[in-house]
Amino acid sequence: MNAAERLELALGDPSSGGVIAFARMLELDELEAYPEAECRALDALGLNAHYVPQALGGRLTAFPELLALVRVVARRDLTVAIAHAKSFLAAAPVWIAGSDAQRRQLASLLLAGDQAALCLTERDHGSDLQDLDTTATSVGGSYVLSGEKWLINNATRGRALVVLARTASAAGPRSASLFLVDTQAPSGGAIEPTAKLKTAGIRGADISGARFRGAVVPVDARIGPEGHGLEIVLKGLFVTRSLIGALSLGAADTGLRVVLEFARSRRIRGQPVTQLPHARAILAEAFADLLACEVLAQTAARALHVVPEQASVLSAVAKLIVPTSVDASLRRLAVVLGARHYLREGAQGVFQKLARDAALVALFDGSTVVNLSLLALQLPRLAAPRSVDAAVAARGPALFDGAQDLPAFDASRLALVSRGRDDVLEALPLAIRALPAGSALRPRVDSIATALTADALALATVAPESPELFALAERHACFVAAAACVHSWLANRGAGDAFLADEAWVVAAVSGLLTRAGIPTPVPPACRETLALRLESLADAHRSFSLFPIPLAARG
Amino acid sequence: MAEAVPSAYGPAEALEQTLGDPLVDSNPLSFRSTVEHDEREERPDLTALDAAGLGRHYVPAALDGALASHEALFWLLRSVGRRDVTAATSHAVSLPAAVLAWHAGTPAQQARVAEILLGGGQLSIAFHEQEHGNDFMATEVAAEPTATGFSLRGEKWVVANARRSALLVVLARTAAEGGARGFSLVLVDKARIDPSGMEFLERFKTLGVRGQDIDGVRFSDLALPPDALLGAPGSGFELSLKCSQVSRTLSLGPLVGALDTALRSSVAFLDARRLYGEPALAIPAVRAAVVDAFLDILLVECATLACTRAIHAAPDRLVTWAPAGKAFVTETAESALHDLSVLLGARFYLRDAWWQGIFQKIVRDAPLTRVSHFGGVVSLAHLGAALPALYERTAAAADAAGASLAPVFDLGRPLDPADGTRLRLVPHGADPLLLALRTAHERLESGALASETEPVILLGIRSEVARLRTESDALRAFLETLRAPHGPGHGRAPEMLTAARRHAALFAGTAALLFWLESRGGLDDFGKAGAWLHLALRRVRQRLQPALEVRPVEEDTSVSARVMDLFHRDRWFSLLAPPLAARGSRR
Ligand SMILES: Cc1cc2nc3c(=O)[nH]c(=O)nc-3n(C[C@H](O)[C@H](O)[C@H](O)COP(=O)(O)OP(=O)(O)OC[C@H]3O[C@@H](n4cnc5c(N)ncnc54)[C@H](O)[C@@H]3O)c2cc1C
Ligand SMILES: Cc1cc2nc3c(=O)[nH]c(=O)nc-3n(C[C@H](O)[C@H](O)[C@H](O)COP(=O)(O)OP(=O)(O)OC[C@H]3O[C@@H](n4cnc5c(N)ncnc54)[C@H](O)[C@@H]3O)c2cc1C
Repeated sequence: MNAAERLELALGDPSSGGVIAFARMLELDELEAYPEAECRALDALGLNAHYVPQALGGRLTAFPELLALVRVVARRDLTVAIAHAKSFLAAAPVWIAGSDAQRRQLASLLLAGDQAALCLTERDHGSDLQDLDTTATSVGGSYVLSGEKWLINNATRGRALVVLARTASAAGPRSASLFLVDTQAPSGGAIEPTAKLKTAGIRGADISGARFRGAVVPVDARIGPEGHGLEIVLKGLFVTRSLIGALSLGAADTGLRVVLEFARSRRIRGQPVTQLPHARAILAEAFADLLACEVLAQTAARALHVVPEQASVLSAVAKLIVPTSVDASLRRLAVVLGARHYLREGAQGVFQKLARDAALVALFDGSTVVNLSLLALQLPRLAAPRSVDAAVAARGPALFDGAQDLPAFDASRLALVSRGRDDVLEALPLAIRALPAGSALRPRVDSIATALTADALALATVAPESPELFALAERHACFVAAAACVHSWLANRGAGDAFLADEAWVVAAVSGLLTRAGIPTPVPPACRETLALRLESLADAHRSFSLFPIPLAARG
Repeated sequence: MAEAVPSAYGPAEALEQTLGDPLVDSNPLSFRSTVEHDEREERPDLTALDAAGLGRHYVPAALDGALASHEALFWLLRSVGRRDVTAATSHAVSLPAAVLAWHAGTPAQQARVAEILLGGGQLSIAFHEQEHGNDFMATEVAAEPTATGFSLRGEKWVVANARRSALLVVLARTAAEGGARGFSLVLVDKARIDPSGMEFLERFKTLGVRGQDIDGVRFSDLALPPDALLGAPGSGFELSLKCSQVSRTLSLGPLVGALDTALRSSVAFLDARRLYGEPALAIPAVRAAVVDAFLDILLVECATLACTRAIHAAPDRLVTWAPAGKAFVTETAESALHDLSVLLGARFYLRDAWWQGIFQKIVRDAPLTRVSHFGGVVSLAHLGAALPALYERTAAAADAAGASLAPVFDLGRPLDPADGTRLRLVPHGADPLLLALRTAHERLESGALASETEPVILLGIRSEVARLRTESDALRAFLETLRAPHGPGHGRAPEMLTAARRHAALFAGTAALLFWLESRGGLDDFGKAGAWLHLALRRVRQRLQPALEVRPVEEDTSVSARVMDLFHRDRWFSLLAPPLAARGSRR
C-alpha cells in the first residue's frame, strides 16, 4: 500500500463520518470556523512531514506522491486541504533557495505542526510583484519590514511567514527580496495579523493579512541574495503550480461521485437519469476531463524530477488547464443535479460547497491569466519547429510511465524560461508513429499537428500582449495537455487493466481538449459508453475516479 | 448625440430615482444592505418596492393595476435586479401565478388575485415534487372531487414563498390514471381554507438567493371550495406550458439587471487598478474581455426584449422564442459572469470587499433563473424536439411568407395589448425570425443603409449575416440527420440539446440584427453606427463556430470607448442606454 492509499483508509469515509466528514465540513463552512480538529488530525497522521524534504527529516521524496496525498484530502474538503497544504506552498521557495540554516529552521517548525504563510499580495498589488509597497530597509545588520500584506492564507495562524518585500527604491525585476520571518522571534511584536476576510468559498479558512510595523529581522532571514526575491518566488511557484491540480482533482472526484449517485437513484419517466443520454454524456465527459487533468498533473509533477528545466512551461500549462477544466465540469454536472445543486443541505449539499471552494484554485498561486501571459511570453520559441532529439526520446518513459522510478528533484536545475524546450510536444511525432493502425486518435493527433503549424505562422502576425496571443497560448496549452494524454496512454496501456488498454478514455480526453482549443471534436458515442460503464463500476467498487484507482475508505 | 430613452423605461426611471444609487449604503436595496441580508439569510427589505407600487405593474389595467406593457415591467425588474436579484425574485415570485390567473381565471378569481397583489400580498406556484422534479406526469399531489369541492393531498417541494403567500396555485392530479389531461391547477386561497389541512416544511437553505423564502408544503386532505379550480378540469399542463412562455420571459429581467452591476463593478475596479506601471484597462486582453462582456449584455438584452415585446406583438411565436430566449440569456449570463470574475480577480471571491461584496452574491444568485420555473434541460429538450419540423417548414416557406416583425423589433412602436389567447402549445408554420435571417442580406443592400453606415462596418455586418445564414442551413441539415434513424427516443439525444443551443444563439443574433434594422432611426449615434452589431454577430458566430481571428481594432476601440462613456455617465450598459440613478444620489 502506498502513502496515499494509507492516508485514504486512515481518514475514513467522508459521507458517513471519518476524520473529515462532509456533514461536519458543511457545518464549519456555515459557521465560518477553521477546521481545527481536522488539521490537527492530519498532523497526527504525519501529512505535514510530507511537506518537508527527506534530507531535512521529512518524508518528501517524490512530487507525484505529494500530489496523490493532497488529492486524498481534497476529495473530502478543500478548506482543510488548502489550509493544511498552504504550508508547503509557502515552504517551497525556502526548500529551493534557502540557506541550510533557514531550511532546518522551517523544517523543524513544520515538523512540529506549525504552519507557514506565503505573503506576496497587497491590497493594491496582486499579480504585479515588481511594484510592492511593503519595504525591507537594510539598517545596520538587520532589515526593517514595513507595510501590509493582504489576502493571505494562514497569515494569522502561520508561525512562519515567507514575505516578499521591496529592497530597492525603483520598481523592477530585481526590486524585491524574500524573507523567512518567525513571528515568535523577538521582533515578532511588530507584526500584527489583520482581520479575517470573508470569502465566497473555503469560508472557514484563515484568509487574513499581516501588518509589519517596523519589524526588525536579521540579515540572515533573507532568502537568497538581495534583489533575487522575485526569481525565487517564481521558481517556488513553478513547483507549487505543478502540484496544485491535486486540489481540483479531489473536488472533481467528489463532485462527480455525488452527481453520479443522484443520477443513478433518480428516476425520470421510469428510468434512472444515468440512462438519459444527455446526462450520461455529461457524466462520461466529466470523467474523461478528470482523467485528462490527472494525466497533466501527473506529468507536471514527474517533470519536476525529470526535466526541471522545463517547469516554466508545464507548471503554467497545468495551472491554467486543470482548475478551469474542473470548474467547467462542475458547472455541467450541476445541470444534472438540477435544483439540488442549489441546496446547502441534504445528501447533495456538499456539491455547492466544493464548487465554491474549487473556484479559488484558478485564482491563487498565479491566476489563469497570469499563467497564460507567462506561456505567451515563451510561445515564439516554443512554437518554432524542432526535430525529436535522442534525449527527449530517452526521457519519455520517466515522464509518462507511472511505474518508472524518478530521479531525485534537483532545484538547481529549475530555470525561469525553458528556452523553447518542451518534451511533451517535441515527442509527439514519436507518439504518432507508435499509434496502432486505425486508431481514432490518429485524426485527432493529426489535427493537433496541423494546428501547431498554422499557429506558429499566426504567431508572427499577432501583437504582444494581445488577446489573440492569449488565445494562441491557451490553444498551445490544450495541445500540450492532449499530447500528454496520448503519451500517457501509450506508456501505460499495458499496465494490466482492460480500460487502460482501450483507447476510449484517451480519445475522449483529447477530444475535450481539442474542443476547448477551438477545434470542435465530438466524443464518439462508443467511447462515451465505455467511460460511463467504467465510472459506474469504479463507483460500485468504491474506488477513486482515476486511471490508477485506489480503494476508498469503506462506508460506515 | 441623440439621447433616445424608450418610453417603456418611464416607470423604471422613476423607480431608479426613488431607490437612488445602490452604492450609497443608506439607500433602500443598497449593495451593503442586500449583502447583509444575504449573510443573515433574511428576506430583503421590499418596503421601498411596495411603496413605489411595483406590485401594481403585475396587475392588468382592466383590474385596476398598471400593467399595460410587459416591456415596462421588464425594465422595472431589471432595475431592481441590478441592485439585488434576491429582492427582485422575492417580489416578482408572484408573477407566474398571476399570469396563470390573468390567462385562465374566472372574473371572480381574477378579482381576488388582483386584490391580493394590489394589497401588497404575494402568490406562489407549487408545481414540483421532490421525487419528480420536471417529470410533471408523475405528479403525486392529488385533488379529489368531494361533495363540497376538492380534497387536496400530498407534498410539494422547494416552493418559493409558500408560507408567506396569500394564495398558491398548485398542480394536482385530478384523474387517477394521469395522462396529458389528468392534471389540473387549483387555487389554495389561504383566506378560504381551514389551515389545519396544510403545513409547511422547514425552510430550505440555498446557495444563492439566501434571503428568499423557499419552503415545502404538505396538504393533508385540505378541503377546497368548488371554485378552486383554475381553468377547465384536466387543463393543468396546457395552461402551465402556455403561461410559462410569458413568465419565463419575465423571469429574465432581474438577471439581465444583475449583469449590469457585474460589469460596472469590474470596470470600476479595472479603471482604478494599476498593473505593470499602467492602468489595468491598458492591457489589451483586459480591454477585450470588457468589450466581450458588454456585447454579451447587448445580446442578452436583445433576446429578452424580443421575447418581451412578442408577448404583445407575436404571442403565437413565444412557444419557441421563450425557451430559446431563456436558454440563451441564462447560459450567456452565467458565462459572462464567469469571464468577469476572472477580470475582477481576488475581489470576486470576497464577501465584504469591493462594492460591498455584491459580485460573489450575483454569481450565487444567477443560477436560480436557470434552474427554477421550466428551466434548464427540460425546456431545451422541448425546444429541440420542435426544431426539426420548424426548420423544415421554414425552409419550405416562400421568402415573403414571414409576417412583418416590425411590431416586435421597432422599439418606437407602441405595443398592442397582450393577447393570451394567441399563445400556442405547438409551433405552427415557418419561423418569421429565421425567415428574416434568410432574407436579411437584401435589406442590408439598401441604399439608405449604405449612405448612413461606414462601409467597413456594413461589410462586416453583411459578412457575419451571411455566415449566420450558413449556420442556420447547417443546423437544418443537422436536424434532419437527427430525425431519421434514432427512432422514437431521438428527441432526447444529447445532440438535440446541442441543436437547441445553436438555435438559441441564432435567435439572439438575429434579434440583435432585427432591432438594428427596425429601430435604427431611434437609436443614438453609437447604436446607429452598427459597430456593436458587427461585433455582437461575430461573437454569436464564434460561439457556433470557433475560429482564431484578429479582432477588428477600430470597432473594438469604439465599443470599449462606449463602455467607458456609459460607465462615467451613469447610463445602463444597454443598446438604449437610459440613465441610472446618479452616482451618489441619496433617497
Ligand atoms: C431556489 C429554487 C426555487 C424554486 N421555486 C419553486 C417554486 O416556487 N415552485 C415550484 O413549483 N418549484 C420551484 N422550484 C423547483 C424547480 O423548478 C425544480 O426543482 C426544477 O425545475 C427541476 O427539478 P429537479 O431538480 O428535481 O430535477 P429533475 O427534473 O428531476 O431533473 C433531474 C435530472 O433529469 C433531467 N431531466 C428531467 N426531465 C428531463 C426531460 N424531460 N428530458 C431530459 N432530461 C430531463 C434533468 O436535466 C436533470 O439532469 C425551485 C427550485 C429552486 C432551486
Ligand atoms: C482566498 C484567497 C487566498 C489567497 N491567498 C494568498 C496567499 O496566501 N498569499 C498571497 O500572496 N496571495 C494570496 N491570494 C492572492 C491571489 O494570489 C491574488 O488574488 C492574485 O495574485 C491576483 O491578484 P488580484 O486579484 O489582486 O488582481 P491583479 O493581479 O491586480 O489583476 C487585475 C486584473 O489584471 C489582470 N491581469 C493581471 N496580470 C495580467 C497579465 N499579465 N496579463 C493580462 N492581464 C493581467 C487580471 O486578470 C485582472 O483582471 C489569495 C487570494 C484569495 C482570493
